Amino acid sequence: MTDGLDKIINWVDDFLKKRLSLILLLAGIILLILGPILGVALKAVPVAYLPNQVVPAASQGNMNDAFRYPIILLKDQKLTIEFSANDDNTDVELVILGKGAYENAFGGAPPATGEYFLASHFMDPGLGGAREALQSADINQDGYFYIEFLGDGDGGSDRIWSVPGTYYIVVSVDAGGLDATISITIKIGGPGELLQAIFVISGSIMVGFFLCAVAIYLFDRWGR
Amino acid sequence: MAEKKKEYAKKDGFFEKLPQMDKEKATRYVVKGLVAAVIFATIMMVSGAIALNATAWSNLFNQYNSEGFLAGLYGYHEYLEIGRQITLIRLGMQSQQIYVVNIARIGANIALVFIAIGFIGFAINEKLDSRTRWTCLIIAGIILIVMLFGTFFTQFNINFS
Repeated sequence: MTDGLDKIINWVDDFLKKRLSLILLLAGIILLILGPILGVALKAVPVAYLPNQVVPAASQGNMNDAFRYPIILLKDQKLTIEFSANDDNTDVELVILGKGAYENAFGGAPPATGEYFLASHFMDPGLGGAREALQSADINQDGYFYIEFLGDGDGGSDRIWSVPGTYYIVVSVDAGGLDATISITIKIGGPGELLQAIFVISGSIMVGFFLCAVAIYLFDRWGR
Repeated sequence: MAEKKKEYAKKDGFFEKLPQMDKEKATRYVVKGLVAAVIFATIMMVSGAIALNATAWSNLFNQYNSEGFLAGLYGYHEYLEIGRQITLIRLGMQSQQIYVVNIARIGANIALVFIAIGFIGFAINEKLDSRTRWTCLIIAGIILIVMLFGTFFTQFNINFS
């Protein structure tokens, strides 16, 4: 028992004298700092930033003319869309269609409603109006939508949930108006959370190991 | 069989060594025990403080979360997700006390045994004057009584404030 303890104390003594111990501590601290930064930076990866896209008038009557963007969602992966339009007297509509609905509608008019997504209104989150589960985002003249999409949702409870699959973002303009200029930013859930967890856990283990070694060293030194 | 018993008797066991404990060795026991007790007591205090302040922490971060949503940094779904994470971490902060304090308590008890052995070592040292030896014996006794009561009765606590 004493031999075992002595072996550990000797090993710790040697370990703390080596440069490896400082490298371990520094690496641990760097990982602990980098983890949250990477987590935030890679939480949502931008896949498209498309400002000033012209969508022809009457594209609501023909899917071929509409703005279309395909996207593949994995389980629990979230799509964030920032959609805005500023056009006088023009009705612009964004819908997110599943692959089946999209292929069914292709060649004809895009459907007026798609899968449910959650639109946020940045007011007090305790108020009911802070969110709205919708099947289409309609802008008349001026408007902005911050959309979170997981695959499907429910309009009554304003909730969305994950349904993995292939989806199409479709933006069309009413036949009665003019061509519309829209801006759309699309972000998809990245590996941020996973990386953050790996970095923080690894960093904590490294720093914790170093602190344990220091505690054993002090325990031995002060007790001599 | 009898020879074996004799062999065992010849070997200096832990209790056989106690009467020969010199002043330096006893001091070493006390200091080692004190260092270990301080480390484990600090762990217990930190763990308790984390658990005690978990609600204040979660209130602060819930407010940050609301401010982040109001500023348009993220959407409502993410706001809900962050809120759930805050609740989960708060519960973790509160429940870590169960594991950390109990593990640290084992360490603190072992440290107290070290200290008690050190004081017993002083008490049985014939080179010291009798008053010091008596004092050390009483201290060792108090430490052991506190430790035993603390181990067997969960409602037994000594608080210094």
